[in-house]
Amino acid sequence: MQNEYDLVIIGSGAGGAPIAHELARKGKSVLMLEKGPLILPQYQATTGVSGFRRDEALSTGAEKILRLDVANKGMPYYSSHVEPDLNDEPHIYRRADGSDDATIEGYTAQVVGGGTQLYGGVSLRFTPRDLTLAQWNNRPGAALDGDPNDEVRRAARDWPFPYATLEPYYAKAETLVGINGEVANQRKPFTSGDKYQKPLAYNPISEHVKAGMDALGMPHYRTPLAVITEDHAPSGRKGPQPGEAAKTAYVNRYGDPMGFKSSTWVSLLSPIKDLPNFTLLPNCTVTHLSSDGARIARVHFLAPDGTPREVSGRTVIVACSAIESVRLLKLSADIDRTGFAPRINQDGNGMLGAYFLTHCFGGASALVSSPERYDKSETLDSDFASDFCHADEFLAAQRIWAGAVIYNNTSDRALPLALARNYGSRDLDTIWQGFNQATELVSDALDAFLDHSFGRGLSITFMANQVPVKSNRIELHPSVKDKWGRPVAYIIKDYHSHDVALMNKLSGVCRDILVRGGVTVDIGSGAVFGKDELARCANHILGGARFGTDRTDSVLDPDCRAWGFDNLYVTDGCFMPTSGGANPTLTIQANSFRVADILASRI
Amino acid sequence: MQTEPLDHTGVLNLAGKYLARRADAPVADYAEPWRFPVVDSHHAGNDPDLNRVTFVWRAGGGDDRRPVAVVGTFDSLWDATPLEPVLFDGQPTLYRAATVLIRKGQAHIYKFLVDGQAMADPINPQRVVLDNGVEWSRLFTEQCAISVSFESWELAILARLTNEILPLTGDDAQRFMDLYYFTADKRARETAFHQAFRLEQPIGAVNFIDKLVAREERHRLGDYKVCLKLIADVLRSRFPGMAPADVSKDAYQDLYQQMAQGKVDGWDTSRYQSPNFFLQLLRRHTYTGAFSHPKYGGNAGAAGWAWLEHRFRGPKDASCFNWERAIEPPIGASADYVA
Ligand SMILES: Cc1cc2nc3c(=O)[nH]c(=O)nc-3n(C[C@H](O)[C@H](O)[C@H](O)COP(=O)(O)OP(=O)(O)OC[C@H]3O[C@@H](n4cnc5c(N)ncnc54)[C@H](O)[C@@H]3O)c2cc1C
Repeated sequence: MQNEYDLVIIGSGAGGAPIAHELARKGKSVLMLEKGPLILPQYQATTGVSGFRRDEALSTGAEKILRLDVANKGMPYYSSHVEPDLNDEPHIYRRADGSDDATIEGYTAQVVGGGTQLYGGVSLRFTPRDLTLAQWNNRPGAALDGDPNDEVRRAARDWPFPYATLEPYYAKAETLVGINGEVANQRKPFTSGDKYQKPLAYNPISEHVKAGMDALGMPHYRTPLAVITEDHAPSGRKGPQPGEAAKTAYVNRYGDPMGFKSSTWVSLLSPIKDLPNFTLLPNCTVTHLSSDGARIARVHFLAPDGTPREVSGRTVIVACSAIESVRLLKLSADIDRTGFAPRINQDGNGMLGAYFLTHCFGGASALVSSPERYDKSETLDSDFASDFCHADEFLAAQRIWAGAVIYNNTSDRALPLALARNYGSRDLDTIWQGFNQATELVSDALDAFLDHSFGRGLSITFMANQVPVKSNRIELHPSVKDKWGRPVAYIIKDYHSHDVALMNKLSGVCRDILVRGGVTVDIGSGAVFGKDELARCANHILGGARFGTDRTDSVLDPDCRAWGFDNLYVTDGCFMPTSGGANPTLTIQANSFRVADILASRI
Repeated sequence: MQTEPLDHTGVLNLAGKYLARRADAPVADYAEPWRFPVVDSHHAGNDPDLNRVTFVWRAGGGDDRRPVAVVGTFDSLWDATPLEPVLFDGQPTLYRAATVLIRKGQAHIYKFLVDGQAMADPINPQRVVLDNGVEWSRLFTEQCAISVSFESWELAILARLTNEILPLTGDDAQRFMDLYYFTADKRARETAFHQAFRLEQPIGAVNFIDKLVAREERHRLGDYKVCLKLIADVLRSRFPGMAPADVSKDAYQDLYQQMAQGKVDGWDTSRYQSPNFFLQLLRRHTYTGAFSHPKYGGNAGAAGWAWLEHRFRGPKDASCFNWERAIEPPIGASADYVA
């Protein structure tokens, strides 16, 4: 390892990898520090076997017991092999009753590739309207449900650039990452052309979704998924042979041993891994940054055995996933209260950590009726999506502030352990709970339960913009520390009353799709949160260091550079001022490609 | 013993997460120490019957350069295998490690020799005390059918309890299992894939639990030890003169119902508060054992998955769980995936 690099990038996921890819290929010296392990796909592993497996016990592991001094102390939790051990590094959230719980929600994954190793791969663009919600909600005659104090209009923000600026970078991300999908019927201009690989045949259970959307006049398209279905030249990956071999149901929440899923490791970092000017150090946790005036002078990290080290970068990129990036910046401010702190906090304007966002999300779920039953293990994560609820006319008619994508999940409840451990559970923190309590499901009754549900589950999800609220925020927890003795992230958030109104409407649409598609057995729908589940993030961890044109109203400038520093950029999901009506990763990647171009001209 | 080339990043991938912590942190603070020694797949060499087992040592500090070696029953006991420094960025770390190949289906005891001094592995919580009072560390490899947690009377009661939980005692399921194991046995001879199964233990769920509470859910071993004893006591008092594992199916059904209701006549709540809690634990473990990957010691020969496929068919008898195509040979039939 050298002492100084052109670029030090912290975090190897969606926000960090595109910049490494671009600037290493332009000959800049790049060091990437990643807290998690380097897990190779089978074709790269020296032992011939990948550390990712088609094994349900890896995605949701054995029981562990929370030992921390929090309200849910003593409770079990079940994390994956690339999620942190909660006793070592928890996230804490404030419950509705004011008590503090540790949660596994709010982590993406800690591994080279970050959340893109485990993600479902749903890779949607945001719409032009998603980036102009202030304009839209301040139009004459705008009216919203569930917003008695007229707050949403004032909370809405436009992005500092229009969709047209991002469009070529969406195309670049789609090309380089490797995504299959369909352009027709998407409500976003694909000015740079169609870069998708061909989608695979959909699972026949999704015919119901198609029928339901058709009956409601909702134009649909095959959900863009970051899984290659054929050879992918930019990353040198061989596609599945035949393409159908990629369909296994070990997709969402699983790293892909074959490397068909387009994690940032296989798609963006592998192609540069042998360049002499690129260094990746996995298993290294960055503890803080230190500054000298307006320059980040040193990046401090712990080697895999805990030995402290430091390095400097002429430019430093923070991309640890939103909660952890905010935490890293706040920890750095805590250590240097007169230098780093006033610069990142911009003399105490309270913006760092504020406006934390996830999505408004939820949907509907039911079972197809007997004798129908499908092999749900032959699937990727989703088959059909619709932008119907993105149309301006829909927003105006429904009196909601922003639009949403709706898509079906195909792989949920596809495998036997998932069927049981998700039974009656509401989130990652309540896995197995419903099944455990249903002690009557044994022997013949267990057989009947399986007969009822095996190969029959179908669910539809919406992903909508959450209203940005300043009090939704990430702080450092006052007492709980990680294994190194550093304060952990404290998640404080709730939904706005308009969010609740919006979620009720959109879950109704999801329900209608199922009903019109003829799927009604055990139907349930709603927002996927209750008052007690404020931790829920849908794995979408956004905001907290938003960008904007007004430094008093943002942490980052439009180039994702921290207002108070010359050489500090933050490029994971925390830059988002609004969360978009779609899953965020493709937008994080596209924005990072945009920032990479800016950096290329600066360094 | 002959060691495999060390996969330095592979060791750091686990050590960085589970072992790295402040120098003053007590050993008891390790997260998931059961992951050590690391038992993993071995693919090179086309012998699917071997596991890679990696022993890991963490030095107290950078100045601790004492040599470390491992001795164990997987090798001739007088032959010590030295652990070598694990490198990060070309430099030695606090970790030392060695990887050896051990057959699947085995259990072994071992010790570290630190500067010639024998001691149990300070990370791995699995220990056994031999008759002579000496403490050793223990490991077992994948698909291990040797019981390591339970005595035979405990296994027998567990077999009855798991039978009550799984829907595999009906005639159709029994016929299917008999046929499946008959053919699996034939296949076993052909592919050198073997997995011990005992038909009195429905598809190895008991064996799975035996392994789970030795390792991943070691914190639950005590629950089993206390509750199996309590159950034996209850059944003995209900059916004097009979072995608890031999009482009727009705007796087990009654017991199950009472445990589910949280009220079992004769259950000493001063020894274990909630029979319902134990039942929930047992049920989760049993289900998991029946349908987890066979390497964990249950779902013997993938019979659990095969049964699901057989039992839950679509219209026109279509398969609705073609599990084999995604799973590695010899358990499954994936054309390209190995594990
Ligand atoms: C199960 C699951 C399913 C998902 N499905 C989808 C989907 O279908 N579509 C979609 O768009 N999104 C999905 N997501 C979300 C997606 O993973 C994230 O949006 C995306 O990865 C976020 O990118 P990021 O750069 O912000 O963070 P990440 O990609 O998570 O990268 C952050 C990286 O920083 C590392 N890091 C953190 N702290 C430090 C530190 N102190 N020092 C060094 N490194 C550090 C982390 O280990 C991690 O590797 C899913 C996520 C999960 C977990």
